[in-house]
Amino acid sequence: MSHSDLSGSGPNDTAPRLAPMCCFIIPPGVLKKYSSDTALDPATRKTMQDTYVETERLRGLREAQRIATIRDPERFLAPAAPQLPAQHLFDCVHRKGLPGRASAQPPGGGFKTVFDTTAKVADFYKTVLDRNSVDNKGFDLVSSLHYSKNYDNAFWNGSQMVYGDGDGKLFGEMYLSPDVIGHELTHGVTQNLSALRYEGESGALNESISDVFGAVFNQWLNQWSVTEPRGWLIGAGIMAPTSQGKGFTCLRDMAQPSAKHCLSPQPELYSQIDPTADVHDNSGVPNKAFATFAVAVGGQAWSSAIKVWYDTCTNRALRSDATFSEFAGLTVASAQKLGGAALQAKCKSAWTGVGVTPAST
Amino acid sequence: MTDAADSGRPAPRAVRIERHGGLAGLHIDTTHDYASLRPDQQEALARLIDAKASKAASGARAMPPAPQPGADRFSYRIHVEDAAGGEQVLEVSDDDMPRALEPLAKPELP
Repeated sequence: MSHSDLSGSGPNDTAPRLAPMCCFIIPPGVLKKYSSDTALDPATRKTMQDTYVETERLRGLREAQRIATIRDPERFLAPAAPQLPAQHLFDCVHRKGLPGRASAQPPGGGFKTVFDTTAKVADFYKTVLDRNSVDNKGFDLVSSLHYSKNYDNAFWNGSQMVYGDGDGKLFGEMYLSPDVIGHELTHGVTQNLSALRYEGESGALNESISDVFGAVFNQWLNQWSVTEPRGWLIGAGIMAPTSQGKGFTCLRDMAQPSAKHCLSPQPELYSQIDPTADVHDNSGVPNKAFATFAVAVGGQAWSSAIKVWYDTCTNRALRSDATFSEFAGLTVASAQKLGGAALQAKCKSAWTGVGVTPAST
Repeated sequence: MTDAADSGRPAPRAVRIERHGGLAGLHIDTTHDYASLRPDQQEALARLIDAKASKAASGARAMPPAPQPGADRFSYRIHVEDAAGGEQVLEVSDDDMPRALEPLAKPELP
């Protein structure tokens, strides 16, 4: 019987009502007695008999469950939170409606790439940072592929990730760089934490945080140490042959934001930024600060440096309108908290190197 | 579709499209001769102009569109210049940008 069969609240309700045999207010003994009372008509006796049988069946089930709970209590506890969030994939079929058409998971090709890489990003967050999905509560991860036609972009729309196929000249499929998937998913994390406003310095920090966690995810995936130059490139995997032929190996390089091999070069010093510029222009300054800090710490960025940045991202003191200086001040405090004076000094030095004076916290 | 003659508006002469945002952060600023646009592109543009006119006629205040949720979205500013020297500016979100017009704002490699 469906739930709707049991509902109905108004005089016009036409849903089937409960059958008399389900009214358990009558004691079983009474049901049993009247089910064999020949003074009653056969239909009433049959109803009493059926109700008695059902009552006894349910009583037996309750008793069986009580015994099972005693023998195997864990089975009846609330299920544990899943290790990794569930995923849902959609195909936009080159249109712009979201999420698109549901896709089997994962049928292969680009869908398999997105499914597998997204699972690894979730694993990175869980393993390295002990975070369960974007909201730390196992939020389902939704990805749509083949958005629009020759669409040169990937984005987070506030509740899911969306990937275009690229135009084949500048960019290929936008999900081909693991750091891009990490970048977009991290926008969901930021949305759930500080919700850094997407304009000015806070917007550039929002973008930088996505680059930082996307790049370190890629380093973790490839087991690259901080000295591996490829580990600091954003979008290396999406560059199409025409772009590569002109010497562009990435969108951005966190270690060298203004380098010629960047399709979208950025200022490296705070004194060089235009406060009204796009958030992707000004993110080069905090990007370089993180890369400098991680290299100064040495080893693997996911072992220590990323934990300093994550501690700041989860700090309630990080306001949605934070400036570079305020964010820098919080990272310096996180470094002190997690690694003492030595780590703090490296963090402070990285920020002053890009012309940002960390605010006092 | 309402074309310029039907609406009493001067015929467009040129279309300038600015694109901002996106994961790559590439800024596009291109101008096209209106006559070079495909018919479906001219229709899509007419629909955007009509939508703006309808909104204005309804008394809605001319305000920039609300910021799109999320991150790395494109946003567009389309300048439609007419033969009489007039210009109207359309602010178009990524969601509302007709697919037919997107190729007009493709980046060129330096």
